Amino acid sequence: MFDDFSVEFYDGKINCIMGPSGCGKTTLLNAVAGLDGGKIQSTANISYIFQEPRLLPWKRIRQNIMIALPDTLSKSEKRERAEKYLTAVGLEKFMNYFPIQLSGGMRQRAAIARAFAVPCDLLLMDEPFNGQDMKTKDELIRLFLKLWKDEPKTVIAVTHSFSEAWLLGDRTIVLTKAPARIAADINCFTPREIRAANVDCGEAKILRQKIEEAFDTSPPNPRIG
Amino acid sequence: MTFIAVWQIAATLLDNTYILPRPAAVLSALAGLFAENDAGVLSATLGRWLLGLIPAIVLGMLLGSLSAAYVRFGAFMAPLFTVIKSIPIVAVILLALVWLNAPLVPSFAVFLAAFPSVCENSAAGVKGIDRRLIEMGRVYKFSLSKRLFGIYLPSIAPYVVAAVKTAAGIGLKAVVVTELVVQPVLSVGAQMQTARVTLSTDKLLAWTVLVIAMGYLIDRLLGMVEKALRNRY
Repeated sequence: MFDDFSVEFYDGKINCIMGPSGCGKTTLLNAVAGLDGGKIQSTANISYIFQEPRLLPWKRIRQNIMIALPDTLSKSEKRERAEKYLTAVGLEKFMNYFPIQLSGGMRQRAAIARAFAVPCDLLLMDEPFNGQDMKTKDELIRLFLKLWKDEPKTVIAVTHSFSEAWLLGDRTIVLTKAPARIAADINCFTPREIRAANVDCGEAKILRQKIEEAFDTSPPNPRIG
Repeated sequence: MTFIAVWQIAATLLDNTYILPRPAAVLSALAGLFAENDAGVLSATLGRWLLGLIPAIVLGMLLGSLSAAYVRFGAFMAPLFTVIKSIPIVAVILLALVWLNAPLVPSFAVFLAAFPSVCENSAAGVKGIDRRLIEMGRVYKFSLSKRLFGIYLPSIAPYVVAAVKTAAGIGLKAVVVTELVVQPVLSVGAQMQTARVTLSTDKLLAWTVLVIAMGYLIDRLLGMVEKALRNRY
């Protein structure tokens, strides 16, 4: 899947990965996470926000977060931590609810809370804002950035959308189609607070341009989607 | 109610207390059952039923889960499984009488009747576990006990409960039938046989009603558990 691939991810920053479908973005992420036989990282503490919330349907959302926390914490410490992060994502009134009782956006919020509640060195995300409508998407991105600002950690985020890469990424890597190589590696220095309002500023334009170039130079992809 | 009405009419028309006693007669026979030591009889039968059912559940869950999780094992189990499922219960009873202690035979029959159902359903349950949840558990470094009690067991619970419900019913029939043949002293099957031999069809029907009532109660109870599980998911 990968062709002579080597990347260095920036510590403490949000690294975005983009690329055509099937180029191996998710595989790369899974390899870092130690899933599917990946051996890149095995000792770091990792949190992961998947595309679907992946909450245990038979546990209340508070317990869903508590079960993911390391067993070095006591039960009351786990409970405290779970409640702290659920409150941070605005779900304090729903801590006793089961996932099925919540909307999709709320479930993803719980998944975000879980990812931040679990102490980690590395936070991986695979298009986590994807299945939501536009309004919820914006809220979730804003929420994520707020949480991340309070506790900055190294983030590797796979995304499909330019606006996500612009809003989130300190740096965006664009991959070619498989066998994947790095087609572009763009850094953005505009402060995040003003990025939403400045979708057409210089850096954003460059980012968009580079992304389009990278996608254009990819050999035509016979697969659909 | 209509059923009882039809029954009453048919009984009156036939006017033969051997073939079809009236409902009232059966009712009084039923009352009579409780007067004698029949609580002991019923609990003895239920005891044998449980003795066969519980190992069937435990072993069925274990082997079913393993055969779904490990393909080789599943392939190995499959023919054995087909054999168990297809043996007619009469053959089971008679062979078991040859090989085992007579008192154990009814429980053994229950075991053989219930085991395939639990096994198959557990296998289906394991196959149906959401891989995405397992992945999530792996990324968040769930310990074995977290994976087992947090993901696996709750995933297969609905399947197992469904299996137990079916198995319980089959087992109940199996134990009574076997008791008819083996005739342990304190057993529903033996009582039924005695009733038949003494031409007390009312007693026979009374016992039947009792067993049906037990089966219905157990079914209802397990049905409630099933429903409670379904509401969560």
